[in-house]
Amino acid sequence: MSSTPAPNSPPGAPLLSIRKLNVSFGRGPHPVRAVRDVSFAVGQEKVAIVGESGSGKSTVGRSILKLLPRTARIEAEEMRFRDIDILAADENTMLGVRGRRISMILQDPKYSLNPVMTVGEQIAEAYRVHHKASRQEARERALAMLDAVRIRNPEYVFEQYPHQISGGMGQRVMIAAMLIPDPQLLIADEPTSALDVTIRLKVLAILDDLVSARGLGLIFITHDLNLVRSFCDRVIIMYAGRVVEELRAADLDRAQHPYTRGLLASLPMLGQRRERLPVLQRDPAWLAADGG
Amino acid sequence: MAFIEVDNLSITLGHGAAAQQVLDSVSFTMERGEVFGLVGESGSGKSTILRCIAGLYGNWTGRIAIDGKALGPRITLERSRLIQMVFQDPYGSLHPKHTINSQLMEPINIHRLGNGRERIAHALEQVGLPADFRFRYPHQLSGGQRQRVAIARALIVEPRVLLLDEPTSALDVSVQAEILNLLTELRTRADLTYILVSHDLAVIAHMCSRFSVMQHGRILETLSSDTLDAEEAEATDYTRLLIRASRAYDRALAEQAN
Repeated sequence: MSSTPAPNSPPGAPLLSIRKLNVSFGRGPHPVRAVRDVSFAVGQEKVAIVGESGSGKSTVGRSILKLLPRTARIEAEEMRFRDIDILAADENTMLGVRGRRISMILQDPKYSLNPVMTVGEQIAEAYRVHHKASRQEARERALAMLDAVRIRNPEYVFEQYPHQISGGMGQRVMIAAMLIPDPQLLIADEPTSALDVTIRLKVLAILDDLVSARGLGLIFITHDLNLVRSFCDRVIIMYAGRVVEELRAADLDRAQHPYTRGLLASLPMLGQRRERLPVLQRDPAWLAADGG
Repeated sequence: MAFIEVDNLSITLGHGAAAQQVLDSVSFTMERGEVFGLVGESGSGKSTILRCIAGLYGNWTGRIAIDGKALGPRITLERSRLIQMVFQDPYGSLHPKHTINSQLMEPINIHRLGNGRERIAHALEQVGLPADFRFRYPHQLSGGQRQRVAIARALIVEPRVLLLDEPTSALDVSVQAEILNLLTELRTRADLTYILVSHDLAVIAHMCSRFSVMQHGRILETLSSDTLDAEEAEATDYTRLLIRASRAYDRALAEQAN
């Protein structure tokens, strides 16, 4: 569908555009600046935000939904999702955005599903919160959604509690619950890091299919560079709260920034054994560098 | 003669109806100084093999021998001088309220080694940590530094064999590279033999000369890292899937994962 977009312009009109986002935590003279001058746009495509722990990648994801604790200060020149100015939106508007228009999948289904409610009810609830529908209709839609995430026996799984299903199935249930209100943008924060390789492959294929079938935008937050290369369209690389580089996933091997290159080099690769892995040399200049 | 022999190792865990055979006739041998890998998904039994070798389970059957000497079922002082283990989570494997010094002193006292100060200083130096880190608590260290402490604690009794259970999977990739390099370095410097368990095939192939692929408590096959490309064609379907899924995301491949 989408041809080859330039690194900085998503295909079609952007769903989300962010300009100079800054997030800081704590008051007083020295707040922690977790995100600094981050700008990017997302269209109907798969965009990865890659970085190591503490790089601010999850904070960016959460600030899009205004899901940060009260001590956080979000500032930006622009943060717009379609017709909604997220920066100016009040809590009421955000309630209509969260889940309904932008949804979020987290790393571990064990913690994000309600342990005392069957998984089917949780998916049906996600639909009923945003759409006027009878219990029966919501149930049918939930069953159809379970089928869409390729669960073989939807009727059976519907009645299960989270502890009765495997991690891979839990993550598919999460995807079903997040997609049933029919959002336009999906933020997935390390959605497959807790899964085994073959299960991960299946969950990614489901995400991949749903994103292209429904024309969604996907923000894929991860630390896994190797996965991003083959799964996403574009990659945004973050270091210490800043975007240090943005490029097409296919061009990852031609990355310019020493941090990106250092990360790639430090990955063990199948088929190329090296005596030592090159270790990332952090340059203090990266902290001062202008992102993008 | 092989340095480590594992022959027909089986174990059943749980009782009555919940009993489950976790390992089913696992056998492999390895040479002194070798790094041998076990790769597989959760529940395949790879960590259980390490725990049997370390003597953490008493009810395994089969034979485990190191340097020609068969090991008993349970952990003994002598065995823990010989074999030490490093666990996945450096946050969980260090006592949060003890200083690094007191955690490193513990094995010295248990084995009545003496020269505590010198041994600790040497162990910290070996893993590349400054000497004054001994006065710190685990929360004052980063994840990578904690894993270095866990390695120092294993090395302090001068073992011959290190059992590494996912030693880098809780770490960032740049830190992972540092720890893997450290392990490579220590192996030659301290004349160690490693068994490395990981779910990450790339890490296994980087570190190990040979490795076994595990599924459902059995060894499916044992491959050599250097000839992996050539052997891929002859490998079992499951191993091939594992190899390809580790290389890249591939939509078509997902259909093969049952």
